Order: sequence, then structure tokens, then C-alpha cells
Amino acid sequence: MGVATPLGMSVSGLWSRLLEGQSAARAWEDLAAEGYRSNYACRIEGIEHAPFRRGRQLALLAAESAVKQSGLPVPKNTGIFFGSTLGESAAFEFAATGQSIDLQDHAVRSIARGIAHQYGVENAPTAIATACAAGNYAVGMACRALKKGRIALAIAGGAEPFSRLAMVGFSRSRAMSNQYCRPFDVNRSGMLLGEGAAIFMLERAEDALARGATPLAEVLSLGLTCDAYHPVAPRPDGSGIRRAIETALKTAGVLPEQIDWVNTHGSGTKLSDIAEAKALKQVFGENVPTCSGSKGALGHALGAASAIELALCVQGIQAQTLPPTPCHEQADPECNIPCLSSPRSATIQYVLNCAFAFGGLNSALLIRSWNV
Amino acid sequence: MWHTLGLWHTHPIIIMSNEQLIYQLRNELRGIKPVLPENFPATDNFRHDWDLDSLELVEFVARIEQQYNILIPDEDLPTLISLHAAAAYVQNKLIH
Repeated sequence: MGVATPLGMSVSGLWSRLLEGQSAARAWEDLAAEGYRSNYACRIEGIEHAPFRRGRQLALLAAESAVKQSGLPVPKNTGIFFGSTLGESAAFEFAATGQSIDLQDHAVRSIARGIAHQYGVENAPTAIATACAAGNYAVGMACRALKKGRIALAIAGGAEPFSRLAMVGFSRSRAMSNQYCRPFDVNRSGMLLGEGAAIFMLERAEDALARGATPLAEVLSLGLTCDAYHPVAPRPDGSGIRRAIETALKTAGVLPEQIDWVNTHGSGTKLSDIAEAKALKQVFGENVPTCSGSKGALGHALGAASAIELALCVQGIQAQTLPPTPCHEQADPECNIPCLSSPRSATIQYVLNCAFAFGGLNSALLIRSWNV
Repeated sequence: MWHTLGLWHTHPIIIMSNEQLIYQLRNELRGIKPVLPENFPATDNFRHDWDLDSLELVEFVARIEQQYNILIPDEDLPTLISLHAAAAYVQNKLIH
């Protein structure tokens, strides 16, 4: 796996800063000058890229690390499964000024094609525009294709360049915090925008073992539901989220009490955190496992978020360490979600990666440590 | 002489009757939710009487901010429960 994030361009760097409770959130002069209500965000500095190709560059940087770590050549018939929100949002912002640009050439598929081109992959890539849940969708779809035997290797993940479109939208809808994102905190006041990428190399377990590789983790199942309730607000009772988690558990034949850790969506908004908390209580009862959220550290990286957070889940399994939830300081009793303020060693086998997108798209990806 | 007469202003004040303001706000809201009747009462509660949701209301507030060049902090949002309340709020902001 490989990542590109505001807290580091390597999994190890990102992980160590997360364990220290660091946050990449800060004020940005350019956002203040542009008149946004809030000028706090989590952004990656020093990335050079062609005009309107920041998303592709972030994806390629993450892919490069993933391919290198795997030690695998990338065959022409590799499956590519890539998620984002709009793709190159800067192109859409440019078009909104009335200037001419080919938006089809800058949509989500353009980044997926960029990965394919980089590695000489001839299979048509799959582009998934399910925004905040896109990474989970991409990995789930990759696993399905591998299981069906259509491909032997998959490159899957998500990327999202910093989006002023999203800044305006979230700011205008009063979903954005003025300073920090505080998941499940009694003083939470909204989300912060981030950016980044995470890419994974996936193959069937038997193939990895046959070549003597040790998998980083095993993907067991993906639960997907749709709230069918509201364009942006989650079902207040959390029932859609609950069903996504239950689907993941039932598909894998795993009981709630076997879950060691839940990486929450934890966007830091009043409504979303409550709905997620309700769902977790409905699934786990009084015994909600240790939860974590990284959006206080990295902001909400939209199409890259669930992929980056999956990388953290895998790294946590590797390190057998539960991470803290940066910027979570005082638990909201209405949520009552068990977050850590510092890292904790633990036996970690089963981990849920939850991610929920606009349109009521709920995803819960269940993974397991390999040495079970 | 101008100071004595109180005609010296440091910035322009938009003078508008409450009726005119309510008319403008009603049009703005109907632009967001076209099913609203043309002359729905100014005292009707947005949520209880017309089932406007939070997204529609924040859009309404964003348009008010842009139209009248005012900033409406989050803590004031709950007071904007009707056209009448919104007009009073805007008038107050414009004067101050």
C-alpha cells in the first residue's frame, strides 16, 4: 500500500504522526484571502503537478509506493479500481469561470486512466464516484473481480485533490468547523477539508502465498447500503449505517463481539456523528469496540478518505496498535463512542473501516490480520 | 452644515420597507423551494408549516448573506424561523 497525505507521504510517517496525536489542520493564507468563512484545512505542500492534474499526481505517488512495496510487476491485465468525488475538481472550478476545458478528460476516470497508463495496463479501469465511501467501494470491487477469477492482480484505492468547490459547498451548508474537526467530541462544530490518496495492491491469498509473500491483511467483506432519505443528511436513527455494518459481518460470518477495532467515519458534524454512534450501539450494544477517527488529523479527504483510513487500519493490524483520535478531547455523552487519547497495544484481528457518503451511501469494509 | 443636519454618512444605508424586504425574501425562498405558494404568510414557520429542511434553510441564509452583504453567524440561525423574523433580522443588520 501507499499513501499521500497532509501528515506524510509514507505509511510509516503518517502512522507515527497519527500516534503522536498530530493534526495537519491549520490556517491557510490563500483561503483567507479568497474570503472563505473558515480558512482551516489539511493540505499537502510541495506537490508539483501538471495543470489540473493534482488528483492524478497524488494517486500516482501513492501507487508508486504500493507497487514498490509489493515487489510485483504490473501485468497488462491488472484490474484498476479507483474512487474519487469529481476527479480533478480544479478543472470544474476553471469551467465554472466560463473558461473552456474538457471536463470529461478531468473526471474520476481520467485519474484511473492515468494509473493505467503509468503501468501499461490495458484493461479498462473502473472509476467510482462515490466520494466519501469511494475507497471502500474500490477495494470491495477489486476483491469481487479477483474472486471471480477475472484478474490476478488489482490496484485499488482513492484520491482527492484539494477542492475549492467542496470548500464552498461545505462552508455554505454550515457543515464546516472554524478551526478543528473533533470527531464525537461534545464541542465538535463540523468537518474540515483535506486531500490525499491511498492505493493498495490486492491479489488472491493463494497467489500471494504461492509466491512466498506475506499479506499485510485480508479483506473479508464489504457491506453497502443506501439510506434513501436525504441528499446529504444521514438517517437520524443510523439504521442505514447499522445495516451496512451488519451486512459486512454477516457476509463474513463474523460476530460483533469479534470486532477489535472500528475505524469510524467520524466527520465531526453534529448529525453525522450522532447517527454513526447510534448505529454502532445498535450493532454492538453496550460493548462498542475501541473506535478511532482520523479526520481530526487529516481532515476529510472525501474520495481518498476511506482509502487512507483503510491504510491506517492495515498499519494498525501490522503494529498491533490502536491509534488515538486526534482532536477528540471531551467525549459527547450523546455519542459515547470509546476513542483513545493515546495509542494502545492490543491484539487486533478484525477491523471495520466505516465510510459514509452524500446520497446516504454507507459502506463498512471488514478486514482481518493475516496470521489468523 | 451637513454634519449639523445629520446628512453625513460614512457608508450607504439601504432603505427598504418591511413589505418590500419580505417580498424579496419570499421570492428567494421560492427559488429554493418552488412548491411554496406565491403569497404564503410571512408569519408561517419554515419548518413546521412548510417542512423546509436544514439544507434548504442554510441555502436561504447563504443567499440572504450574498444579497444584502451581511454575515449571519451560526448562533443566529435558529432565530430565522419565518419571513417576518428573517426580515426583522436583516433590517436590524442593515441599520447596524
